[in-house]
Amino acid sequence: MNTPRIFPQGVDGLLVRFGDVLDDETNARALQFAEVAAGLGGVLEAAGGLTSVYVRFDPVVGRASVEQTVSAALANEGQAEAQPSRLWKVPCCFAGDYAPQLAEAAELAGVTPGVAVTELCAEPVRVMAIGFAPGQPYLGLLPDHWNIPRQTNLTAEVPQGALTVAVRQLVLFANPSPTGWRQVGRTGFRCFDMDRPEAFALKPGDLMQFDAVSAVEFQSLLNAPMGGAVLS
Amino acid sequence: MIVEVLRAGRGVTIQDQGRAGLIAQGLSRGGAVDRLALLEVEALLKRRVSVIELAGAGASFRIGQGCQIALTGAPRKANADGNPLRWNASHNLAAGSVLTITAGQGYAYVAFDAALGRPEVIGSQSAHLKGGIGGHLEQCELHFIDARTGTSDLLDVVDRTAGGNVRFMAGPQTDAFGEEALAAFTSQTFTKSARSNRQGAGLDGTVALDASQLSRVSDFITEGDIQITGNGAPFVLLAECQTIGGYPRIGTVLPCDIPIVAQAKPGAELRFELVSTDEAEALWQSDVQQVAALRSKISPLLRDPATMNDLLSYQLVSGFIRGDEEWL
Repeated sequence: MNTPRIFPQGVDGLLVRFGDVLDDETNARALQFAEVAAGLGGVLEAAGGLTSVYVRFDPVVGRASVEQTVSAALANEGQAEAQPSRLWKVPCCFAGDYAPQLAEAAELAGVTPGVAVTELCAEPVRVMAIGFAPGQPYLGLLPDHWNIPRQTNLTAEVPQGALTVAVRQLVLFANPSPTGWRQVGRTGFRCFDMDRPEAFALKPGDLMQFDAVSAVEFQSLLNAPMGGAVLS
Repeated sequence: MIVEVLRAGRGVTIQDQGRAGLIAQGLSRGGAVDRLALLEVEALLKRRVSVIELAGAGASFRIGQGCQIALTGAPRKANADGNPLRWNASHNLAAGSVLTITAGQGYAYVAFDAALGRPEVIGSQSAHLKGGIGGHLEQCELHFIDARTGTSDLLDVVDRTAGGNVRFMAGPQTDAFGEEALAAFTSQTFTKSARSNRQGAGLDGTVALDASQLSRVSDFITEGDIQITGNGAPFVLLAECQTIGGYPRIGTVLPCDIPIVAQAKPGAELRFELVSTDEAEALWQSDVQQVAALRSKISPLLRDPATMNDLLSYQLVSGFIRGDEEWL
């Protein structure tokens, strides 16, 4: 196990990094420590990411004191335990205009578009972090050959619900956004909706499995709650 | 009190301190881009109220009841029923007055000394445009309670629209840039780009990146982070920043210097100076400390321009003001 390192992240924050490479163990450690860090004295909020934990503290308490508290908690870090997960089944259209970069992404992964869709739907992927935009999941990990780079030039805008891929992960966009990730599908999933009792749909650890639907089916699901996604 | 929004260009939003504490949910704090301007309002009105942020755009309002207002942030031309109003000041407007603020660069703030009666969304009235909360203000009626009148005061403010020196501290990825790239960054003069919005301020200039820096694991981003995008152009993240991102960050601008970046006019020159974490901590001030310091820079406005016609015939404040500059 890597020894976690602590860095400053702004005048009122610090970052605890558990590793430089994303794997399930490093991610599990980060998510578990985020829960611990949130309860520490002087800490205003903590968030678990892919390989790190962001901690925001009260500068009146001071960095030195908070770092000490965080270090002490890290020294007692327990074995990361698998948490029971919820499974979301999410209809996704991988056809035509809904998947503008599927062919390109599949080629980079060394498979045909058809095989790519089969692979992306074969197994559930896990919410490894929520971030970038409200409720937006980073999902993974995909098999090794999906370790494809981000684009150097940004796509000007992917739509809300876009399913994108890069570096063995999928990101399901909460809002229209520019991105360097390639859009391979489109869902009607709303990651964030203030009008729902639970505004943020997902939490880290949730599983998500995509179900390929036709463009016609996708259209009919667009106005369904959660774009036809079902939570079990 | 009802304030009618007669006209509001795109970029006019309701703002306050934002929503802290939701990074785990992927929502940055948001709130006023120029937080100093929000504290200036608080110093002038002697209480904390929601404000109207004018990002580039202009707006006009009809005030339903006599009320004190404050004008802060990027200076604009403002008038009440045609009578010019001094910027960085508080004024009393009569019932029925029409307050007009012209469009211009940067983030200007108008605040009414009243409590905006608008439901909070997750603890705040502010629009978070990137996050999909609220939106641009359009023609409407804003309902306020507890409207007050007060004094007409002037706040002594150092201009922060012309660029200048910006202090930053090292962050988790600073070391990955190497000494040479860091030295090149701190010795370079950048210019503010027009590619700026509530999410971040674009800069023209280039920081060399090697390929390994573009394949990092995505990590947390916070307000003030200096992100170097794929083409080497820096972007200083502001109130509505993304919470996680993949581009490398060379460091984090101190909160006290973020307004200099946010308010710099397009083309204004900006230079970055690395300070230690200890210095950054020493320079940090709580909102309460900042408001107290601002209160000491307030003096009475000797004449209320709203009540003055034929303004240029007056000799204002000891006669050293030309009269054609301060109002702009």
